[in-house]
Amino acid sequence: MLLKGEWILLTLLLTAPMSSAAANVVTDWDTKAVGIVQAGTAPPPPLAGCGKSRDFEKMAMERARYRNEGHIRSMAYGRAPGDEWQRNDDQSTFSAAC
Amino acid sequence: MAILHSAMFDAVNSIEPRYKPYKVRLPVTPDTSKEAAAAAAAAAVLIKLFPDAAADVQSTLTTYLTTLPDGDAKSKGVKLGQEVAAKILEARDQDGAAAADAYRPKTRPGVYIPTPITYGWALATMTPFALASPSQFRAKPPPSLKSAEWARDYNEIKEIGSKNSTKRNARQTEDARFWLVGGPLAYDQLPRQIVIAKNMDLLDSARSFRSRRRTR
Repeated sequence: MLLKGEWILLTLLLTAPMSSAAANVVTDWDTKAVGIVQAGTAPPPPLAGCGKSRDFEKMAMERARYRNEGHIRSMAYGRAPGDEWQRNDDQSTFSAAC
Repeated sequence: MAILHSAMFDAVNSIEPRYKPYKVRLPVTPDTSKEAAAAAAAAAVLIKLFPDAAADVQSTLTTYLTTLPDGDAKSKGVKLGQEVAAKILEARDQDGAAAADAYRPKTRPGVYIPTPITYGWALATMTPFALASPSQFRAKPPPSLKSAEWARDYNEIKEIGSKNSTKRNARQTEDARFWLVGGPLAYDQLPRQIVIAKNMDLLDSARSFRSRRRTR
């Protein structure tokens, strides 16, 4: 049987605020930012032609700083042989549909 | 992300100056809301760098701020966060990160070049967040194609990396899958869990993220 003091201690323990670990404003905004960054670096939709791949590359260049390299799949530099890779900035480097 | 976390850290550290700031320490009174400052700093950075998401970010900020008590503390926090963010953004405005892609791969038979679309070309010249120079810890060139080291590495990858390798153990497969994913989606989960598990206060949370993000 519990003594009075032990009941009081048990009651205090059960009713005391839990100091459980939780997210805070920093982790919350990190999560928010990652979502926005990811949205800007999502893999391209199926390419319908050179125009689309070129658009994507332009977008990718603009957002290169935030690019998640692990989620962009290579399309390779398929048509560019040897030393002739001096492409212009607005030329697509994708070979999938061009 | 580095700019975002630097702004949050410098904002909170201005109120509770326990660490050396990254760029900014503004004079504020101690009653300034750290939560409001951090949130406002983050939102200001995101709105500037991702204008397409501005409405969404502003809405999130407004919703978050409603959870804080109204008053001078909150107002001063928001003002501080915005001011710190502006100064961090200004400091990084000409860091070269947005430079046009100048990478022009050239090769010849037997010389490897990356086949994915290029990533991080600007890092070669960009003003680093923490390093003394971009080349401070630059990796050495790959081994010669005719070297024993190259042959050893090639065979190792071939043996362990092939899809149906019998030499790769379960842990190595798991490791490979882990490293397949990159970027903040994968890596930011780790510091988040650490911050939460260690129940860090706001300043140390911000410092933890800031330090991790300033690795280059």
